[in-house]
Amino acid sequence: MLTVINAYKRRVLVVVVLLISGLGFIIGRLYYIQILQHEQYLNLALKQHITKVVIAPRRGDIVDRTGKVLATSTMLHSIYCDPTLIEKGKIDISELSRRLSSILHKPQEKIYDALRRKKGRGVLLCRKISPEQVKEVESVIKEFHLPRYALFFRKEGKRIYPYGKLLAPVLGYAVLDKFGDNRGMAGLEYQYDKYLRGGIPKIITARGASRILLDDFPEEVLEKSCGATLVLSIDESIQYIAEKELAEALAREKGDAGCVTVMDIPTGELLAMASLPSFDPNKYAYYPLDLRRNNAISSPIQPGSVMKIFTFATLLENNQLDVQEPVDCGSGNTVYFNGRAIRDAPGHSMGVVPAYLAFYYSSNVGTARLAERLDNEVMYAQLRRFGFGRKTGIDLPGEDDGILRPVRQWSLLSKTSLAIGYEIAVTSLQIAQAVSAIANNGYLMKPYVVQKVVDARGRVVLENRPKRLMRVVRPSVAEQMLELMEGVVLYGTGQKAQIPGYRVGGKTGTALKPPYKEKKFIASFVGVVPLDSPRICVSVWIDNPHRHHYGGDVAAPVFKKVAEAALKVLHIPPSEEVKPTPTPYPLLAEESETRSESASIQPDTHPKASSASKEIMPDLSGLTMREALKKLIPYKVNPHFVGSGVVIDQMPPAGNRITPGTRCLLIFGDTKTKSLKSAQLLNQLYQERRGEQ
Amino acid sequence: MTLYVPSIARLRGVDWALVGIVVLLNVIGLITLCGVMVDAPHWMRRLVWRQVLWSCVGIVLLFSVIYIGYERILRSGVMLYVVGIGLVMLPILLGMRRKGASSWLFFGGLSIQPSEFAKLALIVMLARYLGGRSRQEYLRFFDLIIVGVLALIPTLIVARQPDLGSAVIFIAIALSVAFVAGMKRRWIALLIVAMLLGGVLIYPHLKPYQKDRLKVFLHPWDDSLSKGYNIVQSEIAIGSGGLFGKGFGKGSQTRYRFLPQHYTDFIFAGFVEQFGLLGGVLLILLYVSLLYRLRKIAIRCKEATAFFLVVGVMALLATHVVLNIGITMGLLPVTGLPLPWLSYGGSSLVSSYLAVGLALTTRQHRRIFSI
Repeated sequence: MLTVINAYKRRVLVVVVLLISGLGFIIGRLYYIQILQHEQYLNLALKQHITKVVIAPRRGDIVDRTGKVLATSTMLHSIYCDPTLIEKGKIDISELSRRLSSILHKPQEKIYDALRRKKGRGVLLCRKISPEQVKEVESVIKEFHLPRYALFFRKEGKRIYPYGKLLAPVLGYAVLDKFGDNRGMAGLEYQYDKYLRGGIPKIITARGASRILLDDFPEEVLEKSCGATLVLSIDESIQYIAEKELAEALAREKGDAGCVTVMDIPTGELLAMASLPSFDPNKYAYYPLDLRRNNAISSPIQPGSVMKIFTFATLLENNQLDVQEPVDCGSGNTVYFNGRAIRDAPGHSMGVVPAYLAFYYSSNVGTARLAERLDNEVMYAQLRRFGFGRKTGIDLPGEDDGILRPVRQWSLLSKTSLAIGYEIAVTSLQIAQAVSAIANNGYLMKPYVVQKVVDARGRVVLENRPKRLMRVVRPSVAEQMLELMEGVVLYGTGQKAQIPGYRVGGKTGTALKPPYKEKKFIASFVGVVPLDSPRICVSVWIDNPHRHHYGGDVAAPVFKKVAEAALKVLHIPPSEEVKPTPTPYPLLAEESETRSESASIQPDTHPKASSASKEIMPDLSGLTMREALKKLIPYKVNPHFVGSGVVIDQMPPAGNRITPGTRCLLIFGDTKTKSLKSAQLLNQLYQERRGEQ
Repeated sequence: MTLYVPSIARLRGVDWALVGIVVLLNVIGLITLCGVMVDAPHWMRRLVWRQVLWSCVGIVLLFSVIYIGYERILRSGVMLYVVGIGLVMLPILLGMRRKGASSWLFFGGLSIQPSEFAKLALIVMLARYLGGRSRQEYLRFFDLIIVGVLALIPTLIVARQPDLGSAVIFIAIALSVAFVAGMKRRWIALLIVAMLLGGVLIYPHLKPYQKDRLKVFLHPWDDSLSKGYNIVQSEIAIGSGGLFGKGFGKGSQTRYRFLPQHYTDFIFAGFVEQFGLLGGVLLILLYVSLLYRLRKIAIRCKEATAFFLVVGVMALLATHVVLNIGITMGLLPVTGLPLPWLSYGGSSLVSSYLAVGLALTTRQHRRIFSI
């Protein structure tokens, strides 16, 4: 009996030992797999479940120089379905699609078809739905007991331009790619796409056997993948005024298109760049491509008289002009140069006048005559130096070179044509850049619109600093040019650009558009303010204005409003010697309203005898500035002085009728010219001096 | 004479260490289940609560068995055996099939695997038969035939379902009990030869998927995307766990459901992926200590029926553990077998508790009479 029991016990032990040895073998195997081959298996595991998932990064913002957000992105959910996870028999697909279509506002058939598909694991049902819609869809998922990921969401970026059309041609727009609106297609969105689109679109995450886990990404990961922010040099306030004034001018003058470029002279930064007509980047697709272009850099125009700035600057730079020297602006309207007629504005023949007056009143004949002195190559080289005929290199796509033909393609007419702004095409930006160079002591700056690019972690990844390209004119020439431009605004064709309290310099332009027979114009104005230390340059052009066509009437007021706003925004104080608001120069007063492009300076040779002495302009020639001022006090006129020394010329001439408030221009020079008081005599003197040399 | 009354007093002599080990295993099972269900869909995560419910049912049944006493159970051994066989046949008769197998009975939302209970019935039946015969050092040939027939009836039915895992368990139980009851060496040798021969003869009649499983067992990496997928994934899960494991709820292979059946048959892979070699060894040691306690109960039994009952229970639990873990680690061909207390499944859990209850009820019995 006992042996039997002992035998049982022994056999139980054998069974137990057998089983335990089996478990021991298992532990050995466990050791082999988990320790010795651990790395190999771990790599296999990682290869399986670690995956790079592409998530939609938030596209970076675009802000103006003060931090106002001009373009931003929000992440919205797009809804997809995985039809393979929808059990066709169990779920009432037609009811489900009906519910979804009422939430998503999509046709039921489309959703029904998507849910019924046999293939595809991510069929798009609807893009960019609101958070409320997401909640409703989630409740439907619960209601229908849909498996996880049968309907799922992905976050996709939606581009938002809070200011609508503001700055649209510069900003451009972003179109849909697989991350939402994250492909810049124009403007800055295109140019800086690699910064804006976000640094890390791929992140490493765990993947399930049945489906990539798309949610559960920590917010910080999303934040880091966020695109960089562009900080523009554009000021939203100035931009707003520029666009508003341009739009008003276009409406008033019934113009077709136009643009305003505001440049910060010392740095070359753009403060505003308005181009009309424009588009709403929030709904870019509704606008034809034509409207999405940026006229300020992509639409070169023939500048017309604005070009005279550069003609005169070229002459001065090459010592081929003395602004005092007389020039024959012709007694009739038309003068022929190499067989081509150059006309001044109808009804104005200035005769022989000092060169600066030819500039003030924008005499085509006078300018052409002066330009004849220039060598073709010299003129071409100088214009190239001003930046014409090549891109400015601004950080915007689609910039046009403009047209400046090389000398070998010039005809006999080209030089004089170029001098008055034909046979050349320039962009608004090129004009602004070149004029800014003159105002910037002759230094040409590289224009830019993005100050810096700041990434999601606040690091500056790119910074545009002011860059001097070259010196295009001597400082003395620059100074003379600014004086000449001031004269245009004070006495000449650009009087509507005057800004109370500030010294303004500018130049008007009225160019005929080809084909010339149609008599279509482009009215333009370029101005600099304040002249004491030039800060902003505004270049305006308006295409095909119908009511007026002179630059002084159409474009100069736009300049005035925009520059005024910019001065205020930039806190630029008025000049110390505050001049009273000038009234229009009486002789030109009526004319300048409508025909400021050219003007008669013929003195009124028949002053009314009955006029009281105080109403007759005295002869001031030979007086010093102080004496002249003293003499003028009783007349309560509004004197302006140009030059230094003693009075060598005056306007109105002695004996003309004047009224209180009349603006008087006194031109000072050295004693040699003391006795000369008319342009004709000036001419004689000039000849004599040449003879002496 | 023995006293056959159910009594609350029987609880006094319970081996609480064994109960503790079993409950600890159950808790580990629930924790592992939670860990592999981290990313599971809602319906799957609900299974954890079901398992908790089944655990409670199991514990209650364990004490019920102790309360009833093994004598009563043995008395109705024949009936239990017949009912067990009937239950196993029921799915085939009723045509209940799931995943190509008719090994489950469905009652509404409830599914029961009758073979789990048939295993217990076989143990009881064998204990009753072997304990009832006169004591000898070796079994008679006739006894061996009886044991063989008793075991082969459910085995063949289960193999038809097909549920090869359970079939193997039936054989293993019978062999263990018969071995302990005494088998002459030539019988053992004969049996081994017969089994090998049987294997060779049966192989051509196996179903294609069963052949595949064997092939895959030998070369799992040749076909790691379809037929060898389970075992390859299981090995990856285990191997990537390393010494300390990936931590609770961080088992990527199970959590992201690369490993199929990660909460039932392959839960051991999920366990060691999370808790590493250390966890795996501790778990195995826990099973070893379970075996040890059962052996201790067995050798202290005064009655042969009780003794064979405990041996049967021991064989049942230990073969489950060894086979399941062996399968999980690619040491054995894949057949569906749960890991007691760890795998999800009410039938397995409850039957495991019942089995331990059967073992425990024999122990206190001795105490009652030793007073």
